[in-house]
Amino acid sequence: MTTATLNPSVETLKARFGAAVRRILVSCGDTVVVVARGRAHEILAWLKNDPVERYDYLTDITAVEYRDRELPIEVVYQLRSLERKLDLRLKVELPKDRPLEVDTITDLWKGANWLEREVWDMFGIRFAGHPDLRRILMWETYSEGHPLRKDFPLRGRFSRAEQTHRALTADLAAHYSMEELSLKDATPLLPGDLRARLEVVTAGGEDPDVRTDHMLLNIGPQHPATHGVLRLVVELDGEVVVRVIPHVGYLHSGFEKLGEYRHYNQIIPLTDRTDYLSAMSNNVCLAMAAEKLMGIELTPRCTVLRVIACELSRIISHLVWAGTTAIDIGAFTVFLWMFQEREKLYNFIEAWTGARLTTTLTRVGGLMADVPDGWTADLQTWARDFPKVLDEVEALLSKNGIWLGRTVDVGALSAEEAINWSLSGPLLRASGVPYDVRKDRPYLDYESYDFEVPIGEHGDVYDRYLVRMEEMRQSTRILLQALERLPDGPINVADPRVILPPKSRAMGDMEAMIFHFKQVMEGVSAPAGETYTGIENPRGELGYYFVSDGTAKPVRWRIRPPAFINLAALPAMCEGHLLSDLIAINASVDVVMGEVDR
Amino acid sequence: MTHGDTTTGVITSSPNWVTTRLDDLVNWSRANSLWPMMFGTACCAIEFMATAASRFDISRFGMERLAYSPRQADVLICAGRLPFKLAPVIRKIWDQMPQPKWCISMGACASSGGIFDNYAMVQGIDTIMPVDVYVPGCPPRPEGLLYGILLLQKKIKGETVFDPTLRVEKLLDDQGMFLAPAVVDELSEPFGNSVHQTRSA
Repeated sequence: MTTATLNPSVETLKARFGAAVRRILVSCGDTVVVVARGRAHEILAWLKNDPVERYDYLTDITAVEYRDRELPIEVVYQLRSLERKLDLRLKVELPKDRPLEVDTITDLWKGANWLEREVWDMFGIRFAGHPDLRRILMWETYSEGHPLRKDFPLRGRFSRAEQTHRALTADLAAHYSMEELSLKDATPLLPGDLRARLEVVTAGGEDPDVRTDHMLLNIGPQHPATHGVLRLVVELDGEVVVRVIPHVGYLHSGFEKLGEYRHYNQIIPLTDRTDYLSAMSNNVCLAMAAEKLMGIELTPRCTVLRVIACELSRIISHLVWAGTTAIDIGAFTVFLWMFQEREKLYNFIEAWTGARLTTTLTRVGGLMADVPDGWTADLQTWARDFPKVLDEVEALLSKNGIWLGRTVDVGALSAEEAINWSLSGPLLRASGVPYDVRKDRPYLDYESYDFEVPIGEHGDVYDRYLVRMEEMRQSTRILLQALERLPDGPINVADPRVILPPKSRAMGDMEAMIFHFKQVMEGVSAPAGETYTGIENPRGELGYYFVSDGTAKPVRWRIRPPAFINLAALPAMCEGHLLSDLIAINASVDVVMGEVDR
Repeated sequence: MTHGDTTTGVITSSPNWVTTRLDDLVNWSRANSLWPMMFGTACCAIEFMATAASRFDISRFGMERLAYSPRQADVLICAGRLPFKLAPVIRKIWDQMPQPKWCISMGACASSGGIFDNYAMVQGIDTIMPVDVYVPGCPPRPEGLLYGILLLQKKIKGETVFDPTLRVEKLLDDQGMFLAPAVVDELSEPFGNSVHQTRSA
């Protein structure tokens, strides 16, 4: 590792904080700074607020426990400076013989709230000073432990019968804390005129129109407009939303735990099922992360094909978003039109990968298959025609009075707030922040494609709609350029350690047979190290954080889930709006519960 | 001369009257206007949406009236994986549905836990509620789901209104279980590839 890859902030950190900076490592080009537990908050605050450093964006918080039980548990903070385009990873080591506790950073970044709750839920690490440190993915009364700890068995501590019994006899009220359901005085959140009238009433005055009783409404987890098994507990004053408490975890499937039991290539089918609307770009991100860990360079044809996969994913995902959002707001036609295009794309995806939805397209070092003959020409034809469909949809919606009334100035977030909530993707860009991983941290040669990143002004539901529609157009542009430049050649790297030999050789040739056996039985091992790889997914920055101890199975596979982090900001977008706007705002966040709950 | 449909048993020799067995009439009307209660959780729900959209068009089978309220539904379609956290929810929805009711378990996860043989996942919804038709696939193609629906219609056409046991609610026992604990443990045992997924290094 050369010092050229070292993050320039490290020297200033060392000079300023001296012994509080314990160690500095560089792994796969990422700079990692291990800091003292007691001073982590101070260092993070300085990195965020210092006018030179400006690490204003909290990408992720997670934790790592190593297979060597003697090693301390680490809390990992992934930071980014949006302006300087720099990433920095901070770690705090928590020895196991002392209570697992570290100071909260929810006072610095609002987005830290859910991320810290998840670390508490999964690892049992307490965050001192956290305003609401409850379990988030498992239910409140879950008593088997903290699932991502290494001493927690894959199938849990109880028998299946006991788990089933506890689930079926669970008091539904135990899924959330009761005090949360008690009505608090939330007057400051009400719109101006209502607040003034309410204050008159609470001071003992009379107002015939104002009743001070609030109502609690439960939406979900089974509701057609929550886009999956999301549950919202809403406190209402008349029609006005005073408080929203999202409850997630109803689709928690233990992906990250399963990943620790699988070879790198075996994790790829899991990524299909996290964010199932953009399976192909998840596959690409997983393979990229593993390749970065192993130091593998892709073939030119594979690189371009992966760009095609990513952009197809973006289009099919935004198609579902547009269709379902239009249903929520009351327009059914768009759903049918969008699914018609989706079915055409399913045909392309199926011809390439054999599946419509769960593609498992990539392999470490390449792809599962090349595209079939004539595929690129057909896709070119489709991509030339597709913008006309978008024109039709925009003619239907963009100037439609109902659509404008339901979306303009609804659920707006300012750029500053959006960054503070760690939002990403179309949600962040609609608020006017031009952060797109394809431009800011280019991968797969995205810097060589000619495309624009649409930016909104107001950050409301309407801008999010416009941004996503324009993104589909830009993706079509990238698609056409990629199809144009697609070079001939192999799709897989010529490395028998990572790519299976052809079946014909594996049956007859001794060397090929050995490589085949080793890969199937032992998997492809990655050198010890760690890497964070982020790509621009339809919902925002998807990141896979791998920690390897040199074996064929990762010590930790962390998913930086854009939908989970975006959803955390839902209360900030909804409060003070009407109940019917809540549905539009929730739709504009574009959640996929498979990814939120993992 | 009689005109009739041999599959429904409806026989007519005049435009004004028909003769048929009561079972055939009831089953014919039930099977051809199933109102699905869509319990979509994960990837399978996207394929369900594709089934409902224009290309596959679920309304060809009398199912275009999607009920999102369990109280107005005939068939619960569990489309997607079912974690333990969601188990009491689907059970409650099933209990809220009035008779006659049926259940389709769509996809590998709903039917057996699928690839998620871990701490979070119910290993098949048949450990907590009765299932009529299992549709394999991960996720099943829309054609697969439609085939499952046709099988359910076939099953309904074989029922009789004179068997009161068919419509008896299968409630949880006094221990709060749907099946005996030993049966749940046996049904949930690892099989196939997941047998080997026990070592993390």
